[in-house]
Amino acid sequence: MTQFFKIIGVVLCVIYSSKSIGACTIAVSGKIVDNNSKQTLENVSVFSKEKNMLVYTDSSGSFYFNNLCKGNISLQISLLGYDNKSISFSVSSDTIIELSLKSNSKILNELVIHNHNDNELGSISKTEINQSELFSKSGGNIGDVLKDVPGVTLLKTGSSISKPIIRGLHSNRILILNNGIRQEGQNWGSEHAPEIDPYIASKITVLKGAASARFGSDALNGAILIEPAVLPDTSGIKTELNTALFSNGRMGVLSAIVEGKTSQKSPFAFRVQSTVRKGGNIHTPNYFLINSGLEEFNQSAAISYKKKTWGIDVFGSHFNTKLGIFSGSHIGNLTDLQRAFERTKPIDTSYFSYNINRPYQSINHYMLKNRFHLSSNNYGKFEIVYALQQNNRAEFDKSKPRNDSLAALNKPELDFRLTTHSFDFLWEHKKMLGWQGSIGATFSNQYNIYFGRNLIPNFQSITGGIFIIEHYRQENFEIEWALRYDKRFLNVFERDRNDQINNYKLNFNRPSISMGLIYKLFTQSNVMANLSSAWRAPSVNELFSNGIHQANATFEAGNRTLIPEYSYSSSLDFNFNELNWLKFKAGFFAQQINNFIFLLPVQPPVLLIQGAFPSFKYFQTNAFLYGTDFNSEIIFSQNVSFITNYSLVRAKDLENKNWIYGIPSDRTELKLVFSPFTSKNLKNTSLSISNLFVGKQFRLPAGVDYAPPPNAYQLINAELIYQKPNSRKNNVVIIFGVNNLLNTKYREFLNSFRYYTDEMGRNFYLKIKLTNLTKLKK
Amino acid sequence: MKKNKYIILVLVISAAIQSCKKEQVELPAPIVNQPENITTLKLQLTDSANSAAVINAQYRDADGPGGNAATIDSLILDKGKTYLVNLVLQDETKSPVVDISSEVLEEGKEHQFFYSSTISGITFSYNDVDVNGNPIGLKFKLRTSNAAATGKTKVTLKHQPGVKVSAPGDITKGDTDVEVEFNTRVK
Repeated sequence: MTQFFKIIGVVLCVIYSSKSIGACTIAVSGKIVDNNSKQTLENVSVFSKEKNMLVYTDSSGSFYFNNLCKGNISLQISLLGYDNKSISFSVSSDTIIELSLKSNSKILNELVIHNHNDNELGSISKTEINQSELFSKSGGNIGDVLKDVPGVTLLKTGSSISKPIIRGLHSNRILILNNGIRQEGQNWGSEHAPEIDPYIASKITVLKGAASARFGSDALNGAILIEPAVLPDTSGIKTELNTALFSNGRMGVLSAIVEGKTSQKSPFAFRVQSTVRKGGNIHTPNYFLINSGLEEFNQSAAISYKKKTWGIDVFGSHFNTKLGIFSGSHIGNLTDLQRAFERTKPIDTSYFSYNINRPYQSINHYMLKNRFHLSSNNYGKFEIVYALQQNNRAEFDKSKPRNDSLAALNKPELDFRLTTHSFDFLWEHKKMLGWQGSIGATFSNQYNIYFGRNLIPNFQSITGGIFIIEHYRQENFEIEWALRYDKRFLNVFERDRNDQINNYKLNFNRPSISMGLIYKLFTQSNVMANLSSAWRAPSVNELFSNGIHQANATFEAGNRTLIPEYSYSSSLDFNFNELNWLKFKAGFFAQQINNFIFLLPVQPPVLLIQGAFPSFKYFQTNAFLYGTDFNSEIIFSQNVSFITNYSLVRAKDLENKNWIYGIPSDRTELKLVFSPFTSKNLKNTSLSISNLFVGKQFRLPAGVDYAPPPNAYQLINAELIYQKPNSRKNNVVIIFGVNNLLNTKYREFLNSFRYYTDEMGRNFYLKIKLTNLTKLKK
Repeated sequence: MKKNKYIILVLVISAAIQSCKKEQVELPAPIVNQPENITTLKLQLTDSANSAAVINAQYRDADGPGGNAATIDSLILDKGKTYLVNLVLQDETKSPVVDISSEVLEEGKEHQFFYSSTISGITFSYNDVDVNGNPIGLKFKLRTSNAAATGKTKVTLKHQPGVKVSAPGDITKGDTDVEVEFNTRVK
């Protein structure tokens, strides 16, 4: 309640201050460049003594002060890796200045090695998606944002549901951290997409490799860190409006952020954010897909209270979506499935409509996060986080119950409610005997209840973990190690056929270890090596699922004898930034997973009254995965550059001497970027054209799939980006582009709807981002 | 300042208590939306020439999908007969047992049964219609020829909302609700 009044206070204060503009009306803006390369520098801090205000340069190297008085003005400018600079000059009218900074190579060299926090593993292969890249990929779901990261592919169910695959593995083997909190949804299902609004993020980091020693057993094959921007540190109100329009599905997206701080001295800062998204039936090159629309409405709010040594953040969010499922994909039995993929196009093709009918998914995800942090000169930094998450997932089958009174209730056939409480504690200690690092502990308690058809039983899961990460840093290299111990208790209540409740109590525990080395090869290039041992307890669906998967006409049976997976992985990464004309990142990985859990068909098929259903059961084997991902940029001139992305994954079942099913095929993306304009107004305008080639996946075991894998395909995409230059106060970015320019008809191996329909056809889009910064008088 | 620290302490402690409170074991919730199953398909065949001669055959999977396997009767028919057949669908996982066939009849314009046999001498004809005058197949006629034979007879129920066509219908459309095979002997 107090917080509520404080928010009201903040808002009132904002309104009051914005009205009281004084007599000083001079504006000073400027641009900061590197004195050698003349490249503009982002995130340079510029401090005005007269205004007692600190600002940072934007992506075009620009900064802006307004409401300055006539007379002398002095600025202090600093950026990590550059020498500090102070200048003074007198102003009598609006002034534009250009400044250059001299690089301080010693610090830059260290950055090559020490580019991560004390509580992170720096030697794991990673890709960061920054704010401008996030905007250019915006408008879709979180999967659409991640899909261009080398080593990441998407597991899709139609066009609107997608989840990331990192180096061949997904779902239970990948952890998503949403604003520092482990995202807890029904993550096990291939048609259960992460419940996250991508517009929340200002940075996304994809960790490709075992991050278990830091994040716990779910991060066996990687982690995705979705981070919002830090709440503002300088006074002012920033509003940001994002829109995106897509021709295919006639989808519109609107997202707005208001954030600010009422005065430099106030300890409070806030942000409110909301996104609305609506799309209709999508169009393949030849026909519409009936019932493939979606609706989404999300909100979040954050407030922080920050004193010199301590602070509190509170963050709340609500994600709400309704996803139509192409109804041709809900089928009765194996015979129907056979008929579906013998057809070249679905039997009930459609027209355009925004209506969403059965079958559909309706998902609500609520999160509340409270974080307290404290830093002490003697002891380091402390952080305590408590989070509550509520995930409600309802899935409606194609047909309502035949009984009219039941049908009138319109209840979902699958209905899961998952509640998770989590505590995290972190201590980043001061340097001790040359080692810097962190010690942490996590605890979570979750329970799942279902109300619809039996697919997975009710359960309670309690997990706890403690970890330590330490780094030893020298100018040329860094050694790091991490050790973590996790314990998981699973308490399962299974309702059997005689309506008896059977209780199963399962305990799993094991350590995870990670060791890494980062070595500086040249001044701006490094090599990273990592060795990790990780584990994962079998999940509830793998142990206990028992029922029909309506979406793919299979009968899935859990296996109560499953034991945890043990993974031993190694990775080697090269980051090369030495030459002006060439940059590249290359990652290689190899990992053995013992007791790898996977689904295999069993004979004979289950005979139900609806007919024959292929029967699948979970088995374990020893698996070996290896591969590479590669990203390079060749800069021909200031105007032309050429980007290459390449991913390759192989996965072998060592016991059965066979391939593992469901691994992404090789893919290559080539992209040519032109920035032909030199005039001041169009300097940040660029045009790019890219070609994605996806090979055919023929490395799969015989007899496990209903239909042969789809053929290789190529897609051509093009994009034009315009950014208004030098505009700290009002910024405009406009993107116009097209996906699948040639309207190519294709099917993707990793889309479970490949049996029924082609993928989306040509899709034009227009994205506009408007940012406004209003400075407030002290 | 002091007050703020106090507020934090209260927040942290209350959060901790809230979390621990939930540690007591939650009992599984009642199943409020148990899905509809079809567990039983009964065929009642009456000799058109002798209403006292009745043959019953059923497919029964009383515990629904999974669990125990279904029991399937054999269909034993006489040569050169015409049978009037009545089909009943039930959900025996509910108490009392739900009669599904009356619901199929109610939504007759969205449903159609299809019959086929590997025995060439067996022929089928519909004996009922929906509101649009198209066959449903809850009632039908089965004729046997004068040759003795063994084979399989298949009963399929398709749910065809919006796509059901006029007689003889189209088995490739819609979703399959029932697909059952009876071992069949004509003697």
